[in-house]
Order: sequence, then C-alpha cells, then structure tokens
Amino acid sequence: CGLQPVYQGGANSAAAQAMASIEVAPIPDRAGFLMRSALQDRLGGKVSNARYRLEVELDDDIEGFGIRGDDSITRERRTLRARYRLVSADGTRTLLDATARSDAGIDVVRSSDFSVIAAENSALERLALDLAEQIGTRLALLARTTPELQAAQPTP
Amino acid sequence: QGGLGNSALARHDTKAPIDIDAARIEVRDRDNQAIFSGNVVVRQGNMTLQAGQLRVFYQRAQGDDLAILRIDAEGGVTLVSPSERARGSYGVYDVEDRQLTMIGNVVLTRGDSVLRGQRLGIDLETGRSTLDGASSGGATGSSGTRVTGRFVVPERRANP
Amino acid sequence: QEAPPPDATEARDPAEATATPDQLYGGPPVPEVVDPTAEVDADQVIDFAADTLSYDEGADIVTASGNVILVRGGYRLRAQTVEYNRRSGVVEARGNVIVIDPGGNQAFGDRVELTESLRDGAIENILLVLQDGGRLAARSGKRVDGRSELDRAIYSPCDIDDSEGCPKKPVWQIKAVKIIHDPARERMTYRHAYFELFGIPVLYLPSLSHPVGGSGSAGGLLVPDIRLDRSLGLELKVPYYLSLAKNRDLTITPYLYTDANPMLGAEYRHLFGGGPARVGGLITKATRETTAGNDKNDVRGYFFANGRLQHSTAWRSTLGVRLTTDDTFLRRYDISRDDTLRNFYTLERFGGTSYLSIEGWAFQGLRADDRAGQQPIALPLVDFQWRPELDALGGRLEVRANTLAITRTDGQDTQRALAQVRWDAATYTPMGQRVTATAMFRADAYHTNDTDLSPFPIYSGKDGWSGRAIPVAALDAEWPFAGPAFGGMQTLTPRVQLVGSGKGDNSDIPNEDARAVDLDDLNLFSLNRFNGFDRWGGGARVTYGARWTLDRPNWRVELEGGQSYRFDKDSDLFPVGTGLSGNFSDFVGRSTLKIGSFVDVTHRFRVDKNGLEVRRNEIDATIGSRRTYATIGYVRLNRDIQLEDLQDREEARVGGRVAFARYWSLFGSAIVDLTGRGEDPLNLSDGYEPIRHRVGIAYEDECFELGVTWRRDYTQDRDFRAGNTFLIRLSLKNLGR
Repeated sequence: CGLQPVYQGGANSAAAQAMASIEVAPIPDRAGFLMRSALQDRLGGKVSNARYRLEVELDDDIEGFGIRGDDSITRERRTLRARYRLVSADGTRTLLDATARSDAGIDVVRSSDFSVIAAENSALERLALDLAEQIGTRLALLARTTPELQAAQPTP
Repeated sequence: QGGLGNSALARHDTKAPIDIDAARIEVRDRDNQAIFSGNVVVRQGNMTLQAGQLRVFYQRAQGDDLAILRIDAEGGVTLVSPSERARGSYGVYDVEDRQLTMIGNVVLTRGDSVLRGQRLGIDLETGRSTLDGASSGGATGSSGTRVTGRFVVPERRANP
Repeated sequence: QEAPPPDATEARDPAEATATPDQLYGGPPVPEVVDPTAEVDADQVIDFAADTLSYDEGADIVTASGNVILVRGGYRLRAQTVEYNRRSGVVEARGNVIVIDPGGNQAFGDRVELTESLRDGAIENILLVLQDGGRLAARSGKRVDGRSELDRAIYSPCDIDDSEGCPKKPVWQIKAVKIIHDPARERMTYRHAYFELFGIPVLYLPSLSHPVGGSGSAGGLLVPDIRLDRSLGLELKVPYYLSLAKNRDLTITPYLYTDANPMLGAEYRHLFGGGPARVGGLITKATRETTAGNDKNDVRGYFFANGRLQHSTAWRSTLGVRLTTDDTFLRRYDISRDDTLRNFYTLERFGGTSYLSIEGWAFQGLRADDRAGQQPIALPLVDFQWRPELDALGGRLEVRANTLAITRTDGQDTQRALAQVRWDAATYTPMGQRVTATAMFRADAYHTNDTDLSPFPIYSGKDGWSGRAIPVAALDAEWPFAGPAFGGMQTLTPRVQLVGSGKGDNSDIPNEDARAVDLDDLNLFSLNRFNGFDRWGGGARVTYGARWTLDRPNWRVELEGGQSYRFDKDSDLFPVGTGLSGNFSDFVGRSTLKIGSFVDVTHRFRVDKNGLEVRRNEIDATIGSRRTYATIGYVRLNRDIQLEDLQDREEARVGGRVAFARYWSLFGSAIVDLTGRGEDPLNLSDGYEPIRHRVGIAYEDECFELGVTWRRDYTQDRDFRAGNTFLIRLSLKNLGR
C-alpha cells in the first residue's frame, strides 16, 4: 500500500539530511531543557551551519482526578503540549507551524508526597521524549514533500 | 503685543505714489502696459513688494501723468509691511479696488503667527484678509489643499 | 474678484519663453527667513488647519471654516466653523464639534465655547465618549481644566446599537443630576444617581464614584461576589483594590457571612526588577470540629507567598509557600480543593548545555489520616544534567548527578547521592532503520536510619549505608515507513528495544521516590520503568511495539501499542498489578482521534497479558466548538494492587456548555464515582456515588455579566460538609475591575 521507509538511503536520505540542518532554539524552563535535549538527539545533534531553526513553545499542566469519599485525589495526569515552528535561519520564512501533545498518568501515593513530585518529574522527562519523537517524524515527513528542505546539503 | 495684532495694511493709502525699480523695463505704450524684470522692488508708503517680474497696467489720465490701475507680480512675490510679511508665487495688486491678492503656497507671517494657504486676499479698505486653501478661490473641498497655520496665544493674566 | 491672473500669462510675450517654468511660476518657496514658532513653548501655540480662514482686522477675530482642526497641548478640536476671538481668548465652535482630550476621551456637541487653552468651556447637549468605550450624554456640560462637569447626565458603558447598527437601549445605565468625569484622577463621581438595569430604576445613591480609564492604577471597589453556602450562610465578598505604585498593589477583601464570623483576606503584589512576587492570606475566628469530635473556637486562616526572580540570564529562583491552620479550612471556605499543600524553593541554573536545580520541599497534608511526623521534608534535592557538545565516538554523552536528603520529624530519614554517565549513538541503516546504541553506568550511595518508624517495610530498606553500581546496555531500532493513504499520509513505525542491566540490589535500599509504578505507553521503552531513582528494574528484556498515524486534511488518527518480555523471572521487585510482574508484561497502548477542532478523543489502556482483562482504561473526549461543547473523562483502574492505597477505582467526569441567543450560555459538570463494591471493599460507593456537580446559567455581553451557579458537594470531611452552594456573579464592566 505504497509504504516506503522514511529514511531510505540511511544518513544521506532526504529526511536525515534535512533534520541534520535544523537547529533547535533554546526553550525556557526545565521542561524546555528536557525538550531541547530530546529534540537535539532526535534531529541529529551537532549542527554547524544550521539552515533552519525549530522554535518550540511548551504548555505544561497537571490535573488531579480519581476523587475519593474524603474529596482527596488518587491520580494525576500531566499533559505537555508543544507548539513548534520550523523557520528559515534568517527567520523570514515559516515552513511548518504545528502542535503536538502527550500526557502521562501518575498514581498519587498517600505514603509520600515527595514520591508524587518525583513521579511528576519523571513523567515530564518521558513526555519530552515522546513529543520529540512525534515532532521528529513530522519534520522527516515534511522533508519528503518539501524540495527546498531536500536540497539542504550543508554548503561547504 | 504678539499675535496677529492690527495690521498696518488697514490704513494703507493706495493713493500714495508708487515707485518701482528694476533691472530692465519694457514699455508697451499701445497696450498701456509696462514690464519690469530683474528683482523688481515696488514701494508705496510703508509697504514694499518684491518680485522676479512685474507687469503694470496703467491709464493715461488727462495731462501726461500715469494712473496705475493694476500691478501683476510673479516669480516669487514677497510683500512686506511693518506688521506682516506675505510670500507667494504670484501676486496681484488692484490699486483701484484696493485689493491685494496672492496665490500659490502663500505664507503669511504676523508677529509670531504663521498662516499657510493657497490664496490670500487682503481688502485694504476694511483690513479684512482671507486665506483660502483652494487656489481657485472660495469653493471648499475643491482640488486645493488646506489652510494651515499656528497662532501664538498671548500671555493672559488669569484664564477668563 | 475678477478672474485670477494665471490665465493672463498665456498671452505673454513669446520672448519670455526662454525662462524656466520655475522662474515663471515663483520657483521653490523661499526658505523662511525666521521661523517665529521655533523657540515658542509648544503649549503656547494653537496649530490649526481648515479649508478657508479669514481674519477680521478690526475685531481681531479669526474665522476658520470647512473641516476645521485646532490642536493645542494634546487637546484637539474639530468642527465645521470655528471663531477665535483673539482679544477675549474665546474659541466658539459650531457644527458637529468634537473635543478630544489627551486621554482620548471625545466630547461631541452642537455648539461649544472654549477658552483658547481648549481645556475649559461650556458644551451644549454634550455626548462624551470615553476612551474605554463608556458614554456620557448630558443636556449641557462645563469643562474646567479637562474635567467635564455634566448636568442631568446619563452614563453607560454598553453599546447603544446592535450588530446590525439599529439603536438599542443600553443594558444598564446611571442617570444623575450631576456627573463629574476627571480623566487626570481617572475617576467618575455622581450626585443623586439612579441606577437602571434593563430600563428599570433599581438603585438610588446620593453619591457614587468609581475608577474609569484602562490604566488600572486607580483604586476602588472590585466586582463583589455573592454566594449562599450550606455551612456559611449568605456570603458577600467585596474586594477593595489599592494601587500603591506602578509595580505594587494591595487588595483587601472582607468576607461577610450570615452563619459564620466575618473573614479578612489580603493580597500584596510587587513586581521586582527580576520578576513578580505575591504574598497574602486569610484570617478568621470560627468554631472548628476537631478530630476528637469536640468543637474548638480558635483562629483559622491561610497564608501564601510565591514569587519568581530572575537573578541573571542563567540563575533563577522560584518560591512557593502555602500554609493553613487546619485541614478543612480551605475546603470549608471554598478557597481551594487541594488535599496537600506544597511548599518549595527552587534555585535553577540554565546553561546552554547544562541544567542545575537545587530544591527544598515540605508538605502540609490535609487528609484526615496524614501524620505530620511522617511527612517527608526534602532538603536539599540537587539535580544536575550536563550534555557536553563533544563527539564521543560518534555519539553524545550525558552526565547526571543527583543528591537528596529526606528528613521526617517522627520517621525514617534518608540521604542519597548518585552519579550517572550515559552514552547514546544514533545511526541510520541504508534500509532506513534508525538504530540507537546506549551504554550507561550508574553508581548510588544511600544512608538511612529509623527504618523501624516507617509504616511500609517494603519501602524502608536497611539502616546504615548501602549502595549499588548499575551497568546498562541497550539497542533500540525503529523503522519508520510512510506513504499516501485515504487521501492523506500514513506512517507506520515498528520499534524493537533490547535492554540488559545489572540487577541493582533494591531490597536494602530505601524507596523514597519510586513508590508506584504502572506500565504505560510512555514508560514502555524507558530504560527504567520506575519513576525517580531509588528503584531500578534490572535484568535483560526485549520490548517491541509500533506506532501508526494517519493525517488527512483536518483528520488525525494515531494508534500505538507494545509489550515487553523479561528473560529472568524476578517477581518481588514488580508487585502484582503493576503490569510488569512475570516474563511477559501486560500489553499497553493508546489511540487518538482528532476531527478538525470538533472532536478530540484519547484512549489509553493496559490489557492483562493472560486473560485479556483490561487493567487500566482511560478515555477522554472533547466534542463541539469553543462555545458549545461536551467533555467526557472516564477512568477505570482494575489492577488489584495490594500495596498502599492504590485500590481499584472507576470514575466518570462529564462537563458541557451550550451557548444560545448570542449572550446566554448554560453550563454544567459532574464527577461520579462508579467504583463498585467488589472493586474496592473499603470504598463506601456502591457502583454510583456522585462526588460533586455544578450547573449554571450565564449572560455576558460587552458591558454586563450575570451568572447563577448551583454547586453540590456529596463528599465530606470533618467540618467540610456535603451540601449545596449557590453562587451569583453580577459584574458591571467598566465599573472597577
């Protein structure tokens, strides 16, 4: 049914080349550091002459539910939303403006509130990895359909 | 006293002698016209008119003295009187009707107040001067631009 | 005026033809010899523009006509004709006159007489349109130094014409014998004011004043809040806002109750150079039902402080303090529903390639069975991550260090320090597989004492020192495919991961931050499925899964799932119910459906490896537009976890809003506990137990907001009793915040 590998041709496939020419702009807060690290690993890290820049805005939210008879919560859900834009290095053109979302469930143990804090932090680290995977796939697909990105051979 | 104040032109005696000096003069007796050119200066009483070129229409009264009916000035006209200065690209001084008109980027300065428009008419009889935005006279909103300007508010002891 | 001279030039003598047009037509304007206005103070000058202007010498009156504009010191006047008597200094304007003050407020009138300062004067049949949209109309008005005093005037911020432009009666307005609008002090004061709502006079006030103008610096009453509460009776809350400076303000809020003593609230906000800070609290004296059952009458209250200060581009502090006098104060007075108050201080350093956080945490548990002595105090918790930008054998390095000290006033204390170096290298195979090799080494050191005081032996570990070293190796391969399908683009990404790591002795080590683990699609491929650091799920395993997405124009479907197989059978580390006990793990997955911005459904599940029983089922759906929508949330936990308090549970949360007739909307939400008797013997619910619901109707237009909400709580806890609460919210826009 017309399925081809996205990275056909390995490191010099259009998708891999395009992703290697994208630099991730700094993102504020701890969530931003985790998100940027995950994106750099996903896109291929060391970018000397980046031709494109990925700008990401994060929205982080924790909601409690599973309410007991004494009005206390038993579960939390942490949702991380990313709005990301791929712009040309000089910032004049926007090639992609999209959003991605992921959420993780957390059990609220009554024996230690600190354990809930640690669970929320671990959830954040995993959410950043999941969003990076979604964004990476979307950028790889974009490279297949955008000739300009394909021509992204790093000029010597 | 700053501001527009009363203009010296109000009591201007249009009967006073007019003397004109210019670099060149060309007389067309048949048409009762005389053309002066080359930084022309016209003086009458305490009013002087400078222009690049002047066309004087006169009438030969009985005897041989001339009676000037109208003076057309052009080529950057400047009218100076003790109380104000007016500048425009074209001026007409109708001696008989005692009307002075200036046209084209007119700037009237009286004391500290500056008025700009396309057409300035000074009625030397009543002392009433009208500045108009439209160069073709009167009609508002016609092709002409606007009259703009600035009054300086005289110091008042206490607000009324 | 005979024909003007220009056409006379045509009959000119041809000899002149040689002169350039400039000479003939006056040439460029002669530069002004002196600019008389240059040195004059701008306030002393009136600038104007008009179609024509005439100046009557004798009477010293300047008459400008034709779309006249006068400007002086920020004040502007527009009219058809303006007569400016220079001797008396009176400016009289006629013909749809508009006077605009520096604040942007516009006064319309038929005939206006002003002084030459344009600030003072009388205006007949005035309409004053304020910069923030409010309107004032009056028979006549006087302007003194920019302040408008209007006689027999009406004020209203509401629109006077509907969307089609036909005139409509403003929803509410205030009629008064005299209204004074003072833009400088941003205040509006009334004498003998009649307040009319929907055309009906509702209230008479001898005098009234309120802030006006957007800058918000004016103090004054804020929107009052009225509610009828089951235990407090009728409540009236009237906040008073005091602006102390551009960056500082104070809000004092008295709460008046019919069935309880009054309460006082205060909040002080300060915007420092580095960032905002807030401090405030609530205090009252009231009877309190103590756990011992007798009533005690003492001071009850709540204190909060939070702030965030950016010290430099890299360093930033964040503080959050929340303390209350007793467990049920916040819920009884409906301030907050939290059952634990978190107090923390965080100092963070954001480097380009590193992140450091030094934190302190303390908690106040508000649940009946929370023991203060057992509450953990984490001081300090230091976490450092560094990702050097060097090419390590074709991969990337990440160094991480973490240290934590937990103390309990009447319980187990724990200290830990650990360091970890991780190496990852990702490569693409020619066939398009993305292969990531990972190697990691971690060393931990723990020390703990008073383990006998811990109510949970499984978490306590052994007194004294313990430690461990954990080598980890992993190979992860994804093979993403993509292709057109159903008019859009589909992707299929199978993934396999091999992980091998040291067992990591868990039994002697205290567990402070990994006390609950539940396999889901997020942690399926994590190296360590536990949260935090204190537990490590070692051994060798293979994990396999796949993610399929379909993107069509405003359609998006996503399915993902996976499972893992553990080669060694070590059951005590993963208790039953976590999905990880036994060789095969449960099957976990997630599905998402988005249709435009109308439908958004997410389903997360965990299915038992043998017997295909659903262990965890979470569905969340939002359907509808922004103004009319329904939300449904369903969760069912059927995990039979015997540990701690993670009993099985089933809950449904529904909510919705219906907007109608342009300004009206009906809204409601409910939470129902569906946990059955069988699922959780301790729970009192029998399959259908509402927790709380909320139903209300609201009207909101550009100047008026009315909301009536009925809320009912079915849960109770000591003196936070179940029952009804009715909230009425009446807010007149532009009358204070």
